[in-house]
This record gives sequence, structure tokens and C-alpha cells, in this order.
Amino acid sequence: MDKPSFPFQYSAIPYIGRIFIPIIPIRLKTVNGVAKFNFLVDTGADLTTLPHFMASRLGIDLSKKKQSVAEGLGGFRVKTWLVKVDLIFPDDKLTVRASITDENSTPFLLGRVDLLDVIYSWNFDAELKKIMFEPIL
Amino acid sequence: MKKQGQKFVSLMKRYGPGFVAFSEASGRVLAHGRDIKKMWEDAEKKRIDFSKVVISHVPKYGSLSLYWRG
Repeated sequence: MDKPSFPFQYSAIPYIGRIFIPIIPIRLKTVNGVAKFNFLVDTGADLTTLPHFMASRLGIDLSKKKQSVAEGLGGFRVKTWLVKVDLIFPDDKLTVRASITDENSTPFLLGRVDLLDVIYSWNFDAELKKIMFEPIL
Repeated sequence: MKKQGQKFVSLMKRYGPGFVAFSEASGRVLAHGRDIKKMWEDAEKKRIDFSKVVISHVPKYGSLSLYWRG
């Protein structure tokens, strides 16, 4: 298995300055064809998470999926559905358990389940300025 | 590296919070919306080739991002 790597991306915030934002492009097979999505690599997220509208674009029937609730900072709660999503990397395709939220402004989050500690180590390499997904041998 | 940061900042200032679909080749924003559904509808209306774009969430400029546990 090759080692996917992605260059650091940056943003900036007033009064703080430049901020590293760990986003990486991952392809998903949608009803409009295979498209590339920027996912935020979120070690704080249990599950890979997508906004509600993506269910229809990925051909997922939510009426047949188990419902759950996700809780975030400040106790903010959102209804979710547990699904499986195929993530297409340049040289690899992985099926991971994911959650679809009930709203359409949720960012694309890459969570830990089925990825971190199972398939890849995630290395934020500050020297190379790259996010490296290192396969577990 | 500085350019990368500036590019994202300009996206946040113009389109955040929301979603954009930008050309992978040129970086030009081809469709946008306040949420993913609106962005997608804009992209379909413009008959964008989804295989040639990158779809990205764009946070609001000036706000720190705190994400929930998915």
C-alpha cells in the first residue's frame, strides 16, 4: 500500500495570524460522478461525518439506516444516521463507517473509526509540511 | 505557502460560511452556496463537470472553528 500524503493548507484569522488547517482531498462516488471533497482531518471526531444532502448524492437511503445523536462542544447535539461510505484515495479505496447529520452546513470531517489505529497512522509532518497517512504493516 | 493562506482567506471572506466547488486546474470558484445543497444545485445548473472540481467547506472569516464529535 502506498503512503498517501497531502501538503499543508493554511488559513488566517484576525489577531491570531496564519493557521494550519488539516484538510485533504478525498474522492467520493456520487450520482454526478466521482468528485473530490476537502475533508478536515479531525482526530477529535469519532466518525467520518458528512452533511445531510450528501446521502442522496451518494445513493444512501437514510430511512433504512440506524439513527443516532452526535454531541459536540457546549453540548450541541445533532441527529445523525450511521452509514458506510467508500473513500477513494489515489491508490486505495476504503469503506468506513460514517455519520450523516440532519443539516446541510456540516463540514466534511475525517474521523478516527475504521481509519486511525486500524489502517493508517496519521502523521502531521511539520518538517515536510505534509499530512502523511502511513499504512500499518 | 503564503499564497495558499491568502487564497483560503479570500475564499472565506467572499464565500464563508458555505461551500464552494472550485476548478482543480485553475482554482477558480465555479459554484457556491450557503450550504452543500445550494452549492450542488448551483453546480448542476451550470452543468459543471464534477470530476474536475474540488468541493470544500469554507468557514466564516474571522471565526475560529470548533468542530463537534461526529
